[in-house]
Parts: sequence; C-alpha cells; structure tokens
Amino acid sequence: MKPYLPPDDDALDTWLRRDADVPLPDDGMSKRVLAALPPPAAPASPWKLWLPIGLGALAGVICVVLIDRNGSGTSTIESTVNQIAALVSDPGTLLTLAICAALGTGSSVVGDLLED
Amino acid sequence: MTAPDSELIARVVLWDDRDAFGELVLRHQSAVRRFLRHLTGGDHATADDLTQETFLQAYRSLARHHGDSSFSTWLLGIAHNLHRNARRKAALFVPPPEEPLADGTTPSSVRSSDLRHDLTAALQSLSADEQTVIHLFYQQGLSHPEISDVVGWPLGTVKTHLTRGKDKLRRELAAWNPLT
Repeated sequence: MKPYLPPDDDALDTWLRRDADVPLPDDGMSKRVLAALPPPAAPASPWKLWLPIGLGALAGVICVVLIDRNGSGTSTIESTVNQIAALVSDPGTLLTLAICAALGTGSSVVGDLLED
Repeated sequence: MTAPDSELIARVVLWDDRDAFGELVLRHQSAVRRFLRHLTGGDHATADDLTQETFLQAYRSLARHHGDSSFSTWLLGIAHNLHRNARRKAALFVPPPEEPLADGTTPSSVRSSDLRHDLTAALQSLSADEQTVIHLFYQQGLSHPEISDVVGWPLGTVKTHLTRGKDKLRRELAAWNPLT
C-alpha cells in the first residue's frame, strides 16, 4: 500500500522529527572515551613543593642581610625608619630589593616548571 | 538532582574530575554519535571512532569553552570539523545517494516499502549540506543560529538549505501520494 502524503508542513515536520527523542544506548562509549583520556597528572613530589618555598625564604634572608648592611645598627624602630628612608634614596638598596624580587619570581617560575 | 553541564565542566577544568567528564560523555554521546552516523552515511564504526575523538578533543580544550554556545552545540561543531578533516585526509567513503530513475518511477522494492523507507530515500536525494541542515534542525533540535555555529556557514545559507531541502522533500514525496 502506498503511503499517504500529508498535505501540510506540520505533517512533514512530524515525519522528519521521528525518532529524534529516542537516545542511542551508550554501548560502552563513555567507558571507551574515559579509557582513552590521557593519564592524570602525577601529584608533585614533596621536594618540588618545598623548593619554591625554600628559594623564597632564601630570597628573604638575602634581602634582610643586605638591607641590614645599609642600616645604621641602632634601635629596631629607628633602624627600620632609617631603612625605609634608605629604600627611596639609596640605589644600592633598590638594587637589592630588585634582586630579591627577581629571586622570588624565579622561585615561583621554577616551581611552575617543575609542576609541569 | 542532576548537576548541570556547566557544573560538570567546571569540575573537569578545575580538578580534572574524570567522573564528571564521564557523566558529560554519557549525556551527550547519543547526539554526537547520531550526528556522526548521519555524516558518515551510516558507518557506525567510523562514527564511533570519530565520537571518541570528538570527546577527547573536547576534554583537551574544555577550558576554552566559555558557554557562549551550549555544550551540546559545541560538541557537534567539533564532530563536524573532525569529520570534515577525516574526509579530507583519508578520502572517507560516503555512499552516494541512490539515483532516482530517469522516468521518475521508483524501484519495485521501494514501492512496497513503508513510509520510513520512502522518507529515507527522499532524504538521500538531497545534497549533503541540505541533509546535514535538516538533520541538525529536526533530529538534533537546533535553532538556525546554532546550526550556523556547528557547521560554520552563514545564517542565510543555513536557512536556504533548510527551505530548499524541504521543498525537494515535498516534491520527492509527492510522487508517492496516491492523490496526485
């Protein structure tokens, strides 16, 4: 028997939407995809975690030592005030701070590289 | 209560949550496989291989999905690109549509078939682009702009393919109408 042709657009739309709501079964596809994923990144080893922290601490020590050389050796408060004043006036201190910043940044970059 | 796609995507991006990604695959594999089966002319094995590659590529670039399109539409766009690239590289064979007979009649085996077969045959008489747009519109339920995103064609081209495709279908199916 020949099929009957619906006369309007709605019927054609209905035909074309047939089975659209019937989902295909997974058939193991999700397991297959998960098995093909790259292996999870290994957790960073402890020394890799501590290295950036250690480098940062070293930078801090160097910073304190070098700044202290530029200080007057007087009382803590006075010396701190003097050191702050020296920060803006002494090129040597500014250079020291730049070195400290570079070390700190470097330690962070090294840490990121090691994590990769 | 099921988590929305956006939450699952965030869990994958932030914590590489494989279970969340598995849930995304489970939710969307049907649409992707159905689309790729359509594009490959019903080659289920190739469609499944491309489906796997679609999800792997999605996993690798999930952080770049910013939600300006739905995850499903984004996946279908990846699938479309992968199929196009695979066809270019390997000259993937897509069976050509059956040529209608010159006198406009249909083979007897088709004449005795049901509506589903007739519609399938009519769909195969459309161009590949028209078939793709009709599939995405009717079977995937995408809007015109979403189809445009998936296939990368201008919106006007999508609408033209859809209109022309439907016009052709009406003509093709009219040959089967006992009233005409």
